[in-house]
Amino acid sequence: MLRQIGEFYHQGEKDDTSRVWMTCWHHGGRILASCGDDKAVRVWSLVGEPDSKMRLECRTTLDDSHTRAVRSVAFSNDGKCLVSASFDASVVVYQQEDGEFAEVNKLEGHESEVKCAVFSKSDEFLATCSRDKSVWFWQQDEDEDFSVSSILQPHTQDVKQVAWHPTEDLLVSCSYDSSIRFYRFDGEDWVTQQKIDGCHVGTVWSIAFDTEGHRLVTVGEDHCIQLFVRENIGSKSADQDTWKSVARYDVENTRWPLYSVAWNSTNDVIATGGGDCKIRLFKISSTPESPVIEHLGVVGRHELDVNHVAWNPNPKFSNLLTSASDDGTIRLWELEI
Amino acid sequence: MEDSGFSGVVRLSNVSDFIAPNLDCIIPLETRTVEKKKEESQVNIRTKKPKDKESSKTEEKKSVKISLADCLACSGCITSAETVLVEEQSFGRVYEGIQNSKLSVVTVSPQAITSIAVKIGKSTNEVAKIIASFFRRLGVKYVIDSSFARKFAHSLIYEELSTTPSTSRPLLSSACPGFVCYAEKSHGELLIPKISKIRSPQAISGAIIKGFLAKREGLSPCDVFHAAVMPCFDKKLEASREQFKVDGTDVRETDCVISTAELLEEIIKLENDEAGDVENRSEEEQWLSALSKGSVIGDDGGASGGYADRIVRDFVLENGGGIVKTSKLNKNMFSTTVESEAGEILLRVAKVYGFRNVQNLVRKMKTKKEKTDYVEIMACPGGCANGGGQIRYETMDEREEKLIKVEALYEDLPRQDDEETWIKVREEWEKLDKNYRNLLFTDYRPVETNVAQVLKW
Repeated sequence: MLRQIGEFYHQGEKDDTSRVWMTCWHHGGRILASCGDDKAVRVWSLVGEPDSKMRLECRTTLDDSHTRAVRSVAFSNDGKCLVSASFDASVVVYQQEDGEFAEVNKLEGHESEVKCAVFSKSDEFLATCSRDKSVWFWQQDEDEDFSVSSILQPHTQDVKQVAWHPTEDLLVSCSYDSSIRFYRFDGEDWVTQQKIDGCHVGTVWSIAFDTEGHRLVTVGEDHCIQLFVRENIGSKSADQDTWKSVARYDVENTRWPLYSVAWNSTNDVIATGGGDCKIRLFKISSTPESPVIEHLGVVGRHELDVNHVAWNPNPKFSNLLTSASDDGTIRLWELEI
Repeated sequence: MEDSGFSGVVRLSNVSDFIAPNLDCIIPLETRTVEKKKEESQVNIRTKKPKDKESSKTEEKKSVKISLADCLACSGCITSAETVLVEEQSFGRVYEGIQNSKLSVVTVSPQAITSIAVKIGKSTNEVAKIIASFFRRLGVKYVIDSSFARKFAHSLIYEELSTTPSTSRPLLSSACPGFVCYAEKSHGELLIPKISKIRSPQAISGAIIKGFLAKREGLSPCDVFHAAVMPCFDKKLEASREQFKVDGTDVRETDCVISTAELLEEIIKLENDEAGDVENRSEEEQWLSALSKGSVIGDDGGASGGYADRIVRDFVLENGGGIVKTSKLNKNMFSTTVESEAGEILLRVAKVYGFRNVQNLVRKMKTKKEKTDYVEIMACPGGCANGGGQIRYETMDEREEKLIKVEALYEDLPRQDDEETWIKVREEWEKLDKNYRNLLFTDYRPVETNVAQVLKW
């Protein structure tokens, strides 16, 4: 169901590869950012049209901001900023100037490796999480500088990822301590709204919301994908609501973790990547009483671990998926239904 | 005691050795944990994944466990292991110290007194007597107020600011051990030169007791035991610093630190909640007997030491006047300026409490946006009244309510107009030790934690 349309070496040369940790699409669908062990952030253009040969061309390399591996990248929702999180414990914000991204801010404070940094829907807040077990909320002011809004230490082990709700100021984090936590703004500080322990057996590696923000999937070390839903959709806002697990699918023919999950905002197809080098697709069956996670099959493969998968957010390119791998490549896939 | 009580700063500063080994740990780790393999990026030896189960089975390795001894052998991590630290700083140690010494003294913080007073619903006078009586029954000879020691610090602080060039400002208060630990570990180059070198009240009290008092009573420092009751666990860390040992010896100036909550637990355990009869020692000096008589030293400037307010007071006195304006920036940040009649700002001081506000201050200092002359920094939101060692309550609302009461009790402590007592002690100390002033100051050293970068892994 996935057709590979391109394979791109992060460092540009086949003989000199290093792990690629993540890719992230710009909301317009034509720009992709990537990061990896080479300490660099790369910005790619998606060249070509959907009905002809499409490919990625590297147009910017940002290689002097970090001193160690870059673990995550994310665009701001207005598309003007890019943020990277690194094992050097820093978070760097880049801004687009004359079509190129350049470093404008370095945010320090985490004690150890930063795993993830993402902008909230309004871009007012930036959330970061780290091996030091903390989740930080940074607030952007008029000067486009960031100040610390809250520092929370909600987990007992390092925090792997944070994800924002698609429409409201609600954040969720997942951790090596097997739990996920939800956070909301109480008018003065960010506070923990809900805790779900024992979410997976072992590390919870990744989280993804659906496009409405009523459903959430997680994947983890136990090679399971799990579905959570809001319990009071009609009567409470998302940041006041509670979430419960309603379905679970165990990928039985592997013993490797699932490292990443991405929920397509147009066609609702869910993609995962994992330690067994495979990309899988899932769908939630439409029976509203008891949702079921349907495994659509193994549809793609890398030479080594798949660290991240990302759907293109533009409906025009909604069939495009990128994957990042330990084999040093970013692969571009097209979903064929 | 898993990380509980220590300030957020210290927890973030990795004081505990018992977390997953840092990526920079030089001890080779071989485990089957997929997570470890996933995150490993410094040692990037790439091998093809085994194709069949047979060969992968032979390549599996046993897990290796890191013990404290391994960590102690490595200079890369902080080795003030929490378990060792806590075991050394428990009430058992207090009992032992009292038994094994010829003279034992306890320094009690007013934050501890006010916190216990709110908890048990008694006045600060009564609580001071209860605490003093409790310790005296155990064999402690003197129970003294840490605010007495703080008078020494207060007397030096304006002088220190006056000799700090404007390019080296803001001068940062040093009484908070959580902040000091953070500064040494995280931003040593930026922060250490700006930290006040004046010792904290606990450290000054230790110097007075093991230096001055021991000498005066003809005792060796190792014959004296000094414990402190403090509002935060981080003071246990402070007591362990190398800089706070009696010069040329291995004797700590403060042997043991007990938190407010630990003390109350012990008092309740011994059903010792009445002041009872205390033998009248009217011949004792005022500073040694004040707490036994229920007299707690009060001061202006709030429950976190009043350093910022003291600077403003001394500045206005020396400057011959000035217009003082104070504003509250958020729940844990206060700013005060002194202006001339013409509206020119002559002095800026601030109080910055809580790790979030410390972070924002550090960011401003890095970008040279910070124009403050002096900052009273405390790692805990709410400052020392809300220290990690204070009495805890179940709900957030109750904590807020009790904190307000603790602060109110602290504010109501009676002011002393009489400065003669501590001046007399200072003069007597100077006669016994002409270099006594050196014991009122300390220094700070950056902690090197990134071994890997040095090794170029």
